[in-house]
Parts: sequence; C-alpha cells; structure tokens
Amino acid sequence: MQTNASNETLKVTGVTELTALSAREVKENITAAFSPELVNLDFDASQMEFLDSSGLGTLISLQKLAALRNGSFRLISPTPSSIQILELTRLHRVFQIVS
Amino acid sequence: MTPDSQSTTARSWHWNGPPTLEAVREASAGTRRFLTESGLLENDISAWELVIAEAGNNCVFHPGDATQTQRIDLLVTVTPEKVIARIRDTTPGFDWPDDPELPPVDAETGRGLFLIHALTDSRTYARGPHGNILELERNCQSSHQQAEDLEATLMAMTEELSSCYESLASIFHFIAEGRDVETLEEFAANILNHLIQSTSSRIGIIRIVRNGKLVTIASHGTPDTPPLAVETDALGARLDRWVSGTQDNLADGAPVTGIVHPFAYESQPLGTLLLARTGTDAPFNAGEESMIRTFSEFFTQHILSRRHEEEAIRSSIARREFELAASIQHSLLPPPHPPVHGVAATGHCESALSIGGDFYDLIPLEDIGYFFVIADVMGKGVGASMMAAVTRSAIRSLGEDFDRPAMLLEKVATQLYDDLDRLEMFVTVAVGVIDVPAGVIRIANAGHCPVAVVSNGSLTEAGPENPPVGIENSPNYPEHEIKLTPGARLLAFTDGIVDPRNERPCFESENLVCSWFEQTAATTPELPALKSSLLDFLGHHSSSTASSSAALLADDQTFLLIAFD
Repeated sequence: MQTNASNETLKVTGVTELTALSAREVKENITAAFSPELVNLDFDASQMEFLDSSGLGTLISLQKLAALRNGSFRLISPTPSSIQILELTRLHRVFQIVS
Repeated sequence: MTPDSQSTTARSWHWNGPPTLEAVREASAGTRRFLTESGLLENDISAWELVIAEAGNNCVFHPGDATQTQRIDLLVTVTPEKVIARIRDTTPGFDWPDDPELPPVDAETGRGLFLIHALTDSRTYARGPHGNILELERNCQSSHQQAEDLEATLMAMTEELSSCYESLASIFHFIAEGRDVETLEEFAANILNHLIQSTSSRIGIIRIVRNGKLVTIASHGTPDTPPLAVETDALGARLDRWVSGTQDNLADGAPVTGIVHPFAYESQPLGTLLLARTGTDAPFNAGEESMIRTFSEFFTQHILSRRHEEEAIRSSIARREFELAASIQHSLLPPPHPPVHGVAATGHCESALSIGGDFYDLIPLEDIGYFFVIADVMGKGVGASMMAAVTRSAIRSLGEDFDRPAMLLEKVATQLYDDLDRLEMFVTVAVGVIDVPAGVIRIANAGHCPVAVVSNGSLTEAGPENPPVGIENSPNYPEHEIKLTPGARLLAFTDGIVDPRNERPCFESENLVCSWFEQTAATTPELPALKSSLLDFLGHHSSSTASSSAALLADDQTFLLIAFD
C-alpha cells in the first residue's frame, strides 16, 4: 500500500485486499498518513481483489475520518467484485465512487 | 490441501485449521483455488470466497472459552448443480437470524451474516453443546442463467439509454416552457411532477437554500415539513443519500424508499431534491437514478440562471439610478453665461465616479458682476453628491448675502452643521463676489484650497482659513478683499488636481498650482485658452496621450476660471 499527499488530499493506492486480516493495518497506516493539513481521502480500489465486511467497515471509518475535516472520501475505480459487494450492501449509495 | 475425492458427479475439498484471521483467509483462498479447478464461473467462486471468509471470521470474533482447543473444519463439495459448504466449529455459537438485516449505513460492523445470506440459496445452522455446524448451499450459475443475466443487463442498459433519451427530450420541453414560467417555484413544481411520474414515486420535495436555510419551493404527496436530517446530511456532504424505512412526517409514517439528491454549484450548496416511493423497498434503478441526477443538474443550472438574471436586473437598475443621479448633478452645474460688466467665467467638473462631491456655481449679479462658489464634499459617489446638492441649495437660498461672502459662509455653516455632524461629513467651500462697481473681489474660504487671483501682475492667494463647513457650529470666517484691475484672472480649484493618486498628470502642490496660474495667466490671458492650458496640463485634452485622458481619477477634479477685462 502506498500513500501520496497532494493539495489537501491523501491518495491511497496499491491495496489488493481489504479483509478482517488486513483491515486494521490498512486503517492505521492511512490514519497515520492523514496529517492535519489534509482533508480529502482518495482510495484507489482498482487493484482490490478481495473485499469482505470488515473491509467495508474500514472504508466507512475512513469516510468518517474525512468527514470530520469537512473533506471528501472517494473510492477510485473499484474492481467489479468490489462493486458487487458494495451494491449488495447498498453502500454504493453511501460512497462517492469515481470510475 | 487437495480435493478429498473426485468423481464425475461430485468433488470435495477439506480444510481444518485454528480460529485465526490468518487461517480463515487461507481457507477462503483455498476455496477459491478448489472451485477454480472445479471449473465454476467467477461469480460463484468470488461469492464462495467471501462466504467462507465471513463464516470463518464469525468463529474468530466469537471464540468463547479461550482455554479450550478450538478448530474450524471446512468441507466444500461441488456437484453439477450446486456447491455445499459445511463448516464445523467449537465456539459457543449464536442464534442464526432468519432474515439478517443490513445495519445503519454508517455502522462499521454487522454485515457479515447479511452477505452470507445474500450469497447463498440455503442455510442450515445447528448449534450444539460440543460444537456447531453451518451448512450452506448455493446453486451453480449455468450458462443459461448467464445468458439470462446478460439479457437482464442489456435490458437495464436499454432502459437507462431510453430514460436518457426521455430526459433529454423532456429537458428540451422544459427549456421551451421555462421561458414562459415566471417563478422558480412554478418551474420546480413542473420538474417535480415530471420526476414523480417518470419514477413512479409518491412523494417529492424540492427545497432550495435561502438565507442559509432549506426552504420548500415545491412538494408532492406530503405536507410541507421541516427538512429531514437526511436532506441536511446530503446537502452537507454533497452526496446522494438513500431514504428507507419510516421518516418523520413523510407518508403518514408508512415506510418509504427513495433518494435525496443535493444541488450545489462549486462549493455553494443550493438545495435538495427528495423522491420516495411507498409500498415497496425496491430502490430506483440505474436509469431512474440517471434521470434524477440529470434533471437535478438541469434544475441547478436553472437556479443559477435565475440568480444571474436577478443580479443583472438589480445591477441594471442601480446603474440606471446612478446615471440619473449623474445627469441631475451635471444639470446643477451652471450653464454658460454671457459676461456681466466685463466679467466672464468658465468651469470644469469631472468626478472620480460618475457622480461626486465637487461642484462649482456661478450666479450673475445684475449691476455688480458675478457670485461664485467652489466646494468639495468629503468622499465620493452618491452620498457626497447628495450633500453637494444640499450645500449648493443652501448657498443659493441666501441670495441677499451674495455681496457679503463671509457672512453667507457663516450662515451656511450654521445651517448645515447639524446634518453634517450627524453624517460625520464636512464640506470645504470658497465663495466670492466680483464686485465691478466697487472694483474689488471679496472671498471667504472655509478650509478649501486657496483661490488664486492675479491682478495687476501680482498673485494673491485667498485662504484657506478656519475649518470646513460641518466642523464647528458657528464659525467665523475672514473676508479677503482684493483690488480688481482690468486683466485680472481668478482660479479656484479643488484638491483633485493636486492628488497624486490620480492616474493622470497633476500638480505636486497647491502652491505650484498658484505659481503655474500666475505665469500662464500672463502669457495666455484669453479665458478659453487658459482653460485649455490647464486641461492640457492635467492630461485631459487630445493633445495629451489618449491613455492618460482615459485614465481613472482617484479624486474629483474641479476648477473655476474668471476673467475681468
């Protein structure tokens, strides 16, 4: 996983799995990189091969993190399997998804 | 791990491991590999990978007695028709719900059982004192089902395309209709009715932000209610929010399913659209969502267009009033008068804005000569111009004192003091009379620039003395009396011609104005030529550069020239 900060936005890339096993570490790393001057979070989900319910919880907590700073949280180019799970849980209506 | 058995009808794969997140991930990944080898389609494979992960994680998150040695045992069996997974664990177990529901959208947990339920066709959970067995089945997707799915997808795409076309056609209709619709409320009601019909909704509300609050401008199927929390939330987040279940004051408490779409322009929130159905929990399909968003964008543009029109009208009215004020002010300047007893006069007045606080006045006095005024009201624009008109009027009302300038000035100062004091304004004024029979010029100056008189070859500067009008209640002003000789020239001016902020040439000081006048009056005595020279110096004439003539003034420029021959 990589993070890159630019223009008030932290971009997260290279997450291949967001599961109960990896969720905690991913969240801690992003939270640490989300320094006070940043307000927006762009989560690149284009390489995410596996997403489970704990991973969904992590995405929701990241969205709350950005909202606390009046910023936006965007899911960038999620994979078809991730979109399927987001739609199944109706969270595709909650997240701002950018193709 | 490898398949335990292999036949033409069924294959099985067995896995056993501890209840840890690492082990569960290994089990779900192993399930993927086994099902891939078994030739299942990707949809089924990814569904089972997730189901096994969720079921296994449940065992990890609810371990029960940690002192007991616990294991998870998984057996996956593939038949041509379906896949069966049997998961045995030794945790205390739990009551398996018949119909797991999704938690609130902002909940970070609680979706695991829902996913298992949604991705399987059959679930059996047996909870016992020594362990639990969860048996899950999912029918395999056949190529026939795949074709049906593809057909359904194509249908949905066709519907979406169709609704896009309908949206476009309707938008053209609304554009044409919008020209005849007078109010935003009426236009919003038309849009809302169209969306209600197109999406089979029962309830609709359009609200816009006015004075920082969401105000209803159109509604359908519901009384006017205060904004719902979900509307405020959608507007704040500038994201669609879905409405489900019962909502206060909507549909008489019946459950609704719908959407709230916010309107915004850049960072400025403009309003919200709420559409909801009753009697169904089916969300809007992609085509309907697209239509809702398209119309919302269209409505946003309409709101912005209306606001621009209103601002343009307000601006136009203000500009017209400003032009009218400028015209009135210009008409207050004296018209050209013929010489009286050999006294001729001319003036120039240019405001930094189209209206300003400078003015001059010339009143011919029969058998005497001329009474003149030059004044500068503190400030520029409408306020200064109004005070200039009041001052001019006050001076003109004291015609009996035109031959006694100091007394007139004292009366004007007393008369205007209360108003000027209240408005925290003041006026610098110089007044004077050219008394030909008496052979003198008498001048009184209330804080104004000096009045320069060149008579008999020498320069006299009258004033300024004492404060401007509006500073003291009953001031006293001395009167300058200057001998009038043929060939005398008088220049009165405002400080705009010595203001370095003006983007034009100007004098560096009042003294230099007087010196320039003394020299130029000697060489260029003719009044029109003298005026022309002064305007040239100030960069006003065509002989100066065009750019300097068009340059902006920071302060009004006014002067008055009088000649006695």
